[in-house]
Amino acid sequence: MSPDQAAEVGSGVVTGGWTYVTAAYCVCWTVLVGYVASLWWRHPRGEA
Amino acid sequence: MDLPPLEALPLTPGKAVAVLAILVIALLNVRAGRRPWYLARWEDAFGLVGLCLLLDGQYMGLVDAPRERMMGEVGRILYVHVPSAWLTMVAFTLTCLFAIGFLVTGWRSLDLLVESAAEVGVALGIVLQLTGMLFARPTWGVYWDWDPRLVSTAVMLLSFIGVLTLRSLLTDPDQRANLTSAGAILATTSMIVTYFSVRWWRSLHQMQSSPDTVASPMVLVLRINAFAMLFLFTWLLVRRWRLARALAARDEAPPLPSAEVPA
Repeated sequence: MSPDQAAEVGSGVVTGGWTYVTAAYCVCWTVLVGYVASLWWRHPRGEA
Repeated sequence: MDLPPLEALPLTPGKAVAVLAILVIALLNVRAGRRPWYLARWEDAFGLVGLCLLLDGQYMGLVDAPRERMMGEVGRILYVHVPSAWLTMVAFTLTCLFAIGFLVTGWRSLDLLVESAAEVGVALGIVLQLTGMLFARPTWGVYWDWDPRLVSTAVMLLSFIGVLTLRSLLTDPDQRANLTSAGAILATTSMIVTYFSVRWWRSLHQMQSSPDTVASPMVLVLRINAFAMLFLFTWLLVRRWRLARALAARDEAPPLPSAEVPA
């Protein structure tokens, strides 16, 4: 924990949390890419 | 609305990709005299713009946007969570409007749009629900709480999943279309409850976020991410509608005559 973060402990400010931020952005991309892939996969072959 | 000066907007990966994409598209158009595969349909332009805006907006959300005063770095989840919430609501509202339109007119295209908007809404709703849980853990201390907002959002999502499941189980086209539309209108009531839940029951979840409720440096980032989701939603909706149309045409096509083997 950095000195700045340590100073914030007890002040009500949430410290750290980059893991959750990264996970949230990854979830967004995973769902969107997965859904686009499912559209492509379900399309009848030989049609536009 | 006061637009920020151009020099205040940093060069981000999204802008770089946008400029490169425009150059590549122009080059391919000039050389081949036809559109590239990723711009095969008009809606693909929406997808491309949405992708660039999403790269741009998320980069700004992760790097440029200031830390939230109380939530610190965790506040950056706002730029994914809030736009997905808005577009989930847009998707389910459109689902309801298409359903009403189908029940009034009986147009088959509207039935396919009901299915498409509901499915895209569910995909965005999954982003909403999962990012909400990831937001809740560091701020509330738990991934899940029986908070009215969380419960009503889950009920809304499950209602539309139920409508899509029901649709997939029915084989008669008329019955399937009518019950899907009726179910979608019924499921929309859960969306209305979800929207107003934070006003009716003041609990853990904060009131709806809007440009008026966040600090001005966050507004631009929030807007870019919202427009990114809007463009991507439009692209996904039209693409899903084309898929539904192709599948319907395949199902309604007469069977091919069986090959006769000469004696």
